Amino acid sequence: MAGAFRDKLRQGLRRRPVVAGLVAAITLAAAAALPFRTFDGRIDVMLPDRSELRSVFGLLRDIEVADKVLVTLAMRDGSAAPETLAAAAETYVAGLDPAWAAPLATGFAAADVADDFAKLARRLPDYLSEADLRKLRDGAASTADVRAALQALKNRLQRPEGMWSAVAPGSDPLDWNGRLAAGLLHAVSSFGYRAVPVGNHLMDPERRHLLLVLQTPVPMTDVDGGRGLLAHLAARAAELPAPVEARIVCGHLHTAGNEAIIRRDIRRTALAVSAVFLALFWGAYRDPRAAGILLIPMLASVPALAAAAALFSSFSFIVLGFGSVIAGIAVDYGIHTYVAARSAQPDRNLSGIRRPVALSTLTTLCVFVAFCFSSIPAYRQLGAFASFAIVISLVYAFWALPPFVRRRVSPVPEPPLVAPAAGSRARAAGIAGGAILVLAVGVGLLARLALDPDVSKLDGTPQAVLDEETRAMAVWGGGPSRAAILVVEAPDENEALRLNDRLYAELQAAGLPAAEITSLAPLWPSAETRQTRRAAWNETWTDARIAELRRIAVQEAAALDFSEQAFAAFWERFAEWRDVAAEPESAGFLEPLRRQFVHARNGAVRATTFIPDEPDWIDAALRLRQEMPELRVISRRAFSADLSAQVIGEMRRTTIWAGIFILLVTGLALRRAGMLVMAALPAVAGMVWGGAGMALWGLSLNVSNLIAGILVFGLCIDYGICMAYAQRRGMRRDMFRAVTLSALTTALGAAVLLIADHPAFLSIGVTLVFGVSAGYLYAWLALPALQTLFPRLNPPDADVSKEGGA
Amino acid sequence: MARRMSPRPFREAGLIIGLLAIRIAVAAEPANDVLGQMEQAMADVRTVKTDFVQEKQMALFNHPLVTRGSIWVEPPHRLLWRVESPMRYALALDGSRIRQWDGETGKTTSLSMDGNPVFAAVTEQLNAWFGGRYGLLAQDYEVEQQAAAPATFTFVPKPTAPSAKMLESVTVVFREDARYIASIQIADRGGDVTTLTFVDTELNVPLDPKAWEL
Repeated sequence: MAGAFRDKLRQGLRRRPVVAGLVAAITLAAAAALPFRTFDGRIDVMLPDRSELRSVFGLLRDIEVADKVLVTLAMRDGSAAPETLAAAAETYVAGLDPAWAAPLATGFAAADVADDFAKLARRLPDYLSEADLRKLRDGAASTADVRAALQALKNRLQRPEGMWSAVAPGSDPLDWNGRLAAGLLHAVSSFGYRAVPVGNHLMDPERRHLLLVLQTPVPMTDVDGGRGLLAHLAARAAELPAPVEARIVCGHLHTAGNEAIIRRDIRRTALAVSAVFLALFWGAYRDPRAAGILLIPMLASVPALAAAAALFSSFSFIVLGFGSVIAGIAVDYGIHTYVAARSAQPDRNLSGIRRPVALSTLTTLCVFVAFCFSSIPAYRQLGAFASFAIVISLVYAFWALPPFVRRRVSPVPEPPLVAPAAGSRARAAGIAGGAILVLAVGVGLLARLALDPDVSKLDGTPQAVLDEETRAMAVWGGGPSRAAILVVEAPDENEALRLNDRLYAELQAAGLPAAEITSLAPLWPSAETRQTRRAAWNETWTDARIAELRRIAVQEAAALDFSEQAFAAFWERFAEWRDVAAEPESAGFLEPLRRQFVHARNGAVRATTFIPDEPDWIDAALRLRQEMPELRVISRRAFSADLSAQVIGEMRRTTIWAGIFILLVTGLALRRAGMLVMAALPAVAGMVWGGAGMALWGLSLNVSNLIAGILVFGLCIDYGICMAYAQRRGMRRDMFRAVTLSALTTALGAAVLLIADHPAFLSIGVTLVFGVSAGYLYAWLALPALQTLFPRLNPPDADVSKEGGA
Repeated sequence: MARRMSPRPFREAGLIIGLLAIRIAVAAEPANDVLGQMEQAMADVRTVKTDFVQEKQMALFNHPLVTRGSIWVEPPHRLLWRVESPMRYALALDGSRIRQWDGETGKTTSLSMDGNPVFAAVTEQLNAWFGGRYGLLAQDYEVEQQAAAPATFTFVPKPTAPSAKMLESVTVVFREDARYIASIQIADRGGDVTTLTFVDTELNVPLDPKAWEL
C-alpha cells in the first residue's frame, strides 16, 4: 500500500506541470524573501572575525567621518567669490531635510571666539607644562625682561593688527595669554587643516572654496539610505546658482560606488555567462531545450541565496559576484543529466550517472563546506551560498530537468573531442616529461607571486570618488590620514583624557618631537593634569615673587607712558589664577577638535593621537603598550603584517579542512591509494598554474583570490577522480567528454569575471581560468601518460576488459 | 493792497525744506545701495599708494600714540603697510602669505594664514576696509550713512559678527571724488579710539612688486 503510494507520488513528482509548479513556487517564495534580507558592499567582510583586525577596522570606522558629509562649494570658473559662496551655502543648508542631513553645529560662533580666548586666559596655569611655567617665570624675573615685554606690547598696538586686537591689552601686558593663544593656534594649525572662518562659514584662505560639514543619521553601511542621502544632496546641489558647484566627500559614496560597480559586474557577468553557455549548448546539442541546462543553476541560485542570506545578518555583494563561477560549476550536473535523459535508454543512463555526478558534487561541496568553518565572514557566506546552490542544482538536475528533455530521434552530433589513449610508453614518457617541465615553470612563476594584505585594494570605489577625496584633501588639508593612530580607551572621558596626557608625555620622553604628535593633550588637558599644573603655578608664584613683579611692572610701565591703572585687569586675573579651582573650561572653538579626537561609543570613551607611521615610532608605541594596556596601536604597516599572518593562517586551516573532506570523500569512493595520487595530480597542477596565471597577469595574492586557489583544487580533483574512475571502469571516452564539457563550462563561467571592473573579481577570474584549464589538461594528457608509465597505480577492475560506456 | 511776501521766509523755508529733503534723501536711500555705488566707484582702482597718520587714544596710555607710515594696496589680496615712526615695521599681505619685517631686529618672518584663523580674520578686515569690499562688510555690519559729502558711513557690528565683542563702530569718510577713503575711525568697546587719516593718496600708480618681498 505504502509502496503503491510512493510510486504514485514519484510518478506525480515527475509530471511536467507538477515539476514546473513546484520549481516556480520555490523560486517565487525565495525571491519574495530576498527584499527582507540585508545586502552590503563592505570590505571588512574579508577580515577574520573576533580578531584584533576586525575591531581595529570597526574602530577606524567609528573614529573617522562615518556619519559626516563634507560639501565643498566652489565657483565653476575657479574664481574667488566669497559672498556668492556664502549665499549659496545658505541656500544649500536651507533646503536640507534633517532626516537626511543637517549642518553640523561647529560648536562655536565666530562672534564668541574673543570670549573663548578670554575664558582660556582665565585658565592659563592649566595649559602650562612644567617647561612652559619655568620659561614664563624666568621671562618676568628682571627689570629688562618686563621692560622689553611692555615695549613689545606698545609696538604691537601701533601695528595694523593692533586695530583689531581681540585681547584687551591691559589684561596681558607680558603677553602670557598671547603666547598661550599662539601655542594653541599653532597646535591646531599643525593638524594640517586649511579652513578659516569667514563670517559664519569656513573657507579656504584663498576664498575660492566654502566648506559645509553635514551630519547624517544614515549609517554608511545602509545602502538604500545612502542612495537616498546622495539623491537628496544632489537635489540640493541642483538648486544652487548656476556658477556654483557642490562637491561631496563621504563614506556613503564608497558604499554606493562599490555597490553600483558590483551590481553592474553581476549583471554583465550573468548576461555574459548566459550567452556563452547558450551558444555552447546550442553548438553541442542543436536543441532549444538545452537552454534548460542553463536554467538549472539560475533557478537554484534564488533559493540558495535566500537560504544563505537568512544565515547572516548582512550578506556581501562581493560574494554574490561569484554567481557566474558557481553557475559554471553547477551547470555540469544539468549537462550530465541532459545527455543521459536524451539518450536511447534514459532511465538506465540517468541511473548510471548518478554515482559519479554525486561524487563530483561531493568533492566540490567539500571545498565550500570547508569555507563554512572559516573565521572570515565572506568565506562563510560563499561557502553557504555555493553549497546551497550546488545541492539545489543537483536536485533540480536529477529531478526537474529530465521530464523536459525530449529523447533524441537522430544521433547527437559528436563533439570533435579525442579521448585520451594509453599510447606507447615513449609517447607517455614524453608527455610526462612535458608535464613536469610545465609544472616546474608554473612553480617558478608561482614563486614570484606576493601576498598583498591591503584590504583597501578590494574596495571597488570608482576612481571619480577617490579623485574627489584627493581634491578635497588638497583644498582643506590632508589631516593625519596617513599617520598611525594611537587610541587610549577608558570608561569615561576624564580617564581617557588622563591616559591621553600620559601618552603624549611618554611619546615625547621616547624621543618623538612634540611637532610630530597630533594630540588633543596640549589643547584639552585632563582634570588631573590641570590640578597638577595649578599646584605647580601656586608653588612658583609666591606672594613675594608677585610683589616683586608688580613693583617692576609699575616702574617700567610709567617709563613707557602707560597710565597708572593700565594693568588693573591683569592683576585681577593674577588673583584668579591662584584662587580659582582647576576645572575644564569649555572653549567653543576647540569643541570641534575635541569631537574629532574623543569618541564615545558603546560605554567606552576613546581618545586618539596621530603619529608618523614610521617603524621607530610604532616600536616606541608598542613598547608603551606594555605599560599601558589601554593603548592600542593602529598602523597600516602593522595592520598589513597582522593581516598577512592571519590570512595565511586562515587559508592553511581552510585548506586542511577542505583537503581532509576531499580525501575522505575521494578515498571512500575510490578506495585505492594509487587512484588518489593520480586524482590529486590535476588538482596540484591546477593550483600551481592558477597562481602562475596571476603572476603572468601581474596580479598579487589577496584575501579575496586566495579562496580561488582552494576552489581550483576542489574542481580539478574532480577531473582527476573522473578520469581515474573512468580508467578503472573502462569508461574513458564518455567520461572524457563529460569532463571536457565540465571544465569548459567552469572555465567559461570564471572567464566572464575577466570583464568585471571590481578588483576582487578579476583576480579570481584569472586564477580559475588558468587553474581549471591546467587541471583539465593534466587530467586529459598527463594522467593517461602516468597510467601507461605506472600501470600498477590504477589497474582496471577485473570485470572490465574493454572500453565501455554508460 | 496785497502784501508781497518777502522772499526771505521762502528762502529760509526753502533752506529748511532743502535740508530736510537732503536728510530724508540720505535717510531714504539705503546705505547698502550707496555703499554699492561707492564700491562701484572704487572698482576701477587698481592700485592705491598713500601715506597715513594713525592716532590712538587709549586708556592704557597717558598720551595718544601717533604712528606715521604708508600703505600700498592692490585689491583684492595685496596690501603693504609700512610704519616709519615711532618705530620701523612693515607688513605685507600677498594672498594667503604674510611677511613681517621688524625694524628693531631687522628680521623678516613669513607665515601662512592656513590654519591661523586669528591672523586670517585680521587680514580679512584689512583687505575688506582698504580694498573697498563693502559688500562683504555689509554681512557683518549695520551700515548708516552719516553725510553725503564727503560720503561718510558708520559701520556698527551686528551682534552675531565676530567683531561685535570688540568694536563699537567704524566710521569711514571718503574723499570728495569718492574714489578712495580719506579716513577711518575705529571706536572699540573699551572707549579707545583709533583714527587713521590718509594723506597724499595716489590712485592707479605703478607699485613695485618687489616691495612685497620685504
